[in-house]
Amino acid sequence: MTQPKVLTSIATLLLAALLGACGAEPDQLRRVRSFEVSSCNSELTTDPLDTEAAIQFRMQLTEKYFVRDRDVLIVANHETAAAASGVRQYRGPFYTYLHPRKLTDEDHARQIDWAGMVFLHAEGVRSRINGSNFGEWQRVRTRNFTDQTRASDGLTRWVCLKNAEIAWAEVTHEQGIWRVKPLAISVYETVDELQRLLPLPTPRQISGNEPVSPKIP
Amino acid sequence: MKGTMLQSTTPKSDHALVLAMLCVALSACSQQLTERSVSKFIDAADQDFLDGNAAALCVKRGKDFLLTASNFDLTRDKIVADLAAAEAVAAEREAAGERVSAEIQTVTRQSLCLDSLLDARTYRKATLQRGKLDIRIDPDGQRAVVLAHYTVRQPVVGQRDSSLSMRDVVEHQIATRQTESDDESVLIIDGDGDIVFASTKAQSRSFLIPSQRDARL
Repeated sequence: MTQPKVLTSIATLLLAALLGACGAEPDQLRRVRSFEVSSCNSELTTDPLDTEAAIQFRMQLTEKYFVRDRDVLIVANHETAAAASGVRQYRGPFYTYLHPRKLTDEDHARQIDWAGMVFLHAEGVRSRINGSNFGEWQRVRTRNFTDQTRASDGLTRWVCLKNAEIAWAEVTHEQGIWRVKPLAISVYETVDELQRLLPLPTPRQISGNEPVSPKIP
Repeated sequence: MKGTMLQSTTPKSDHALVLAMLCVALSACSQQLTERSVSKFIDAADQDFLDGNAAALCVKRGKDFLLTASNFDLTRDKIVADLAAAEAVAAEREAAGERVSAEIQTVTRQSLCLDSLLDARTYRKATLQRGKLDIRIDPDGQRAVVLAHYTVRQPVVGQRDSSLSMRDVVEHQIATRQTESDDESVLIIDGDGDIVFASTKAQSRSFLIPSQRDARL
């Protein structure tokens, strides 16, 4: 009985190794236990509520504001001027980090059974304004810091997490309804500014054959 | 054989060492500044700034280095389109009886080294454009005066509360500060035979322009 099991395990490992060798590092969903530098701990999660929070984040944020093309996520930048508008590409691996918060008595009273922040992390970014070529890939930089623990080099305490955030949202599951409130996506960091991501870039805009239209406030 | 080799190489090593030291000493005495070496040095210094390489910035300053910087803040907190608009605002302020005066700073090598260490992170977010270098080398090749115009753009950032915790903050860009600076630097060859800045006089005008999107977000 053990022999087939061993064979299956070996086959699975070989398959995983082959897949790993063939493609890019896979996306991951991780629950953050601690993001202190000294005790950093995030783990892969399969918890049903965690998984559903991530699915809702993907549906209500990622799929609404990003276009996925193979291994990259693409956004449109509809700036005030056509000369500043264009597209921005993000390179994976894409990690979705869940930061669930401790539920309060008020949460329980409102029948909230999951609440927290969800962050989408990417490795690299490059941008192209209308009529130009893409710039070089650069590492995404973080915008989230901790006041007291910022080191002299400016690193945040959650430097232990992989890469840096390109989108984040407050996510709540209240009375069976999932609510996703995007707080920042790409370069845009206010609710009004998020409109600069829409409409999504078309294939011709992504390939650079058509300019991204500006959005005048 | 090995013993023999060792015995015979020891005096050779001594000779080689003496020769090498002599060469270094001679090269330090005979080294002259050229347009090429000065231009290369300035390129490297500019790149050190963009890289936020505090150690390299410090090493390139002579022990008696002095920076004399005077900066006119043309628009205070007002965001304008460009230098012409900024100068128009400054003219309006002066017409209204306000005196637009320069902030003058004198910075020693020690202070500059410390500032570079503390501000390295902000340097890395800057973009820099340099005009044509005007290099004037003394006939003995031991001193050069370099004139250059720089346009530096750096993000002006604020902080918002984070939904993650009371300790966390989210950095966001408010505007971009553009500085137009006319620099006059004196370069010399120090005792070690290295080119260093002996002094820099910078006269600059700065103002706020709309946020230029960070290429790393």
